[in-house]
Amino acid sequence: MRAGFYLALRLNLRQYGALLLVSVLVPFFAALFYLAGWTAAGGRSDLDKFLYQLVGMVLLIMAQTASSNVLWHIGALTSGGQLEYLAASPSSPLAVLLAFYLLDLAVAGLGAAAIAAAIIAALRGALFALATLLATAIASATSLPIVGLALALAYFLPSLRNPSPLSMILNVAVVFFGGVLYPVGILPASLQALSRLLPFATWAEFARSVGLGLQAPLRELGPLAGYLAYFALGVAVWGVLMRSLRRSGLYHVW
Amino acid sequence: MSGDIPRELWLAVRLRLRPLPLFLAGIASTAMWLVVVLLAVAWYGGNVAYTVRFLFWGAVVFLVFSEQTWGAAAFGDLARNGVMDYVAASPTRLHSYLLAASLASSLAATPGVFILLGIYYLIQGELPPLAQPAYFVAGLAIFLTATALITSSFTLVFIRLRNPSLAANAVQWAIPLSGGMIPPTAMPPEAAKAFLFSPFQYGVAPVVYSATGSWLVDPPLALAAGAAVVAVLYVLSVRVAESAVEGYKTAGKWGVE
Repeated sequence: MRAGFYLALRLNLRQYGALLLVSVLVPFFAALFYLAGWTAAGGRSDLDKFLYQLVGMVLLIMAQTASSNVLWHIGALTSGGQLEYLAASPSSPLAVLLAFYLLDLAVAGLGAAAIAAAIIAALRGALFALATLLATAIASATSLPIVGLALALAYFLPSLRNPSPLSMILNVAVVFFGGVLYPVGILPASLQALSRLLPFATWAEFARSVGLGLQAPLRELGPLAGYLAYFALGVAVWGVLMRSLRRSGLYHVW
Repeated sequence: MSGDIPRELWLAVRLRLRPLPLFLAGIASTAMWLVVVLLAVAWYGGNVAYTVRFLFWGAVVFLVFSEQTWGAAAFGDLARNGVMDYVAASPTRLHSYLLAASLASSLAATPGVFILLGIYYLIQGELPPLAQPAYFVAGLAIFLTATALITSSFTLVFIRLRNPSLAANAVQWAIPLSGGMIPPTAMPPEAAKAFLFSPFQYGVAPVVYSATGSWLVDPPLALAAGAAVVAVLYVLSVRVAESAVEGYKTAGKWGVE
């Protein structure tokens, strides 16, 4: 994984500035939703909902890092031909990918969390700001199921030859079913049932409870551990993909 | 121009459908993102179902305008690879070609509109009601023509930019939001009044007003104002196109190609 960190820094250092800029979008979009909500509700406002969506935007950026960035990194390694070299090297390609992910998360997640925490400190106090930073750390640690889904979807990359369709669908699924910007409870029962099958909503709810409720709902630890099956599935599918690439010799699929 | 629309539609369909997974994922994810935004905003209102019903047609308006805007932003490629030179050399007048291309782009949004309707049905258990169907048809015709004229003019602005994405992003939000995508009738009265001074309101909002049955001004007056806005936009788009052709003849290029 150390080699992965080195490679990620060498390849992506210039992109981290842009990634940090994305953090600025957290308060911007949360404020936009608040303004639109205020106008659509005939001038009624609700600060709690603003804070819910502010923390939701941080989670959204972390989820996109886990889903989209992982798929695009795999796409870049494949199109650039590096995957074949990685597979032949003593480093495991999966460990290298996880190193890429951790660095992306450290840059984008920390930037977004710091901005959100500063706003929350101003509105709610320092304790809630610290809780938001803790919530971000917990969300990072529990985001492996989303990475697993991205790894599983990567199986289709050689035939699609473009990470875009996969990342677009996974990104929007996280937000639509994840209770990131609104509680899943406002969806109809059928969509709520679908949401419970996916790991996003529990992941977001646990982190948000820590950040805005100052409590860790222990009853959610069981489901959170259960959703790790998605990571196991992703690792298994990734193994199948690597074996098939090794057999065919066609690492460079573009 | 009537012959140009099917040809441009065929071109737009061929360009956008390849590769098919990318087109399907793109249109489905855009529609789902719009529903996410809709729900995120509606959650602020006490009655989510009622607010979603009020905001739904605004999402449709945005989806169609967004397709038109990105279609316009893609014209930089046509300038770079020389297709626009052929357009300038052809007997077709530039404004009519661009209008046909914009209308074709709006038709390319149709699958996305169906996906939006499907998700609405899943969430609400019914299709979105149309309060005044006759006014809705008139409002839709005004909206499609007005926005096609706006984007056909913006095509010639985007073509001058090295990276039109940022400008396209700003335009795709600015026009619908200043045109009543979020119905002014649901806003506090002071905020709603400001929309009376936006010309885009008369081109965009009648779709939303007629669907919800709640108008900011008298319906015939709003539709007449919309038709007047369309006429002004038409004159403007002809002038912009003529000026662009003159510039092309002088400089030998459209923009930064």
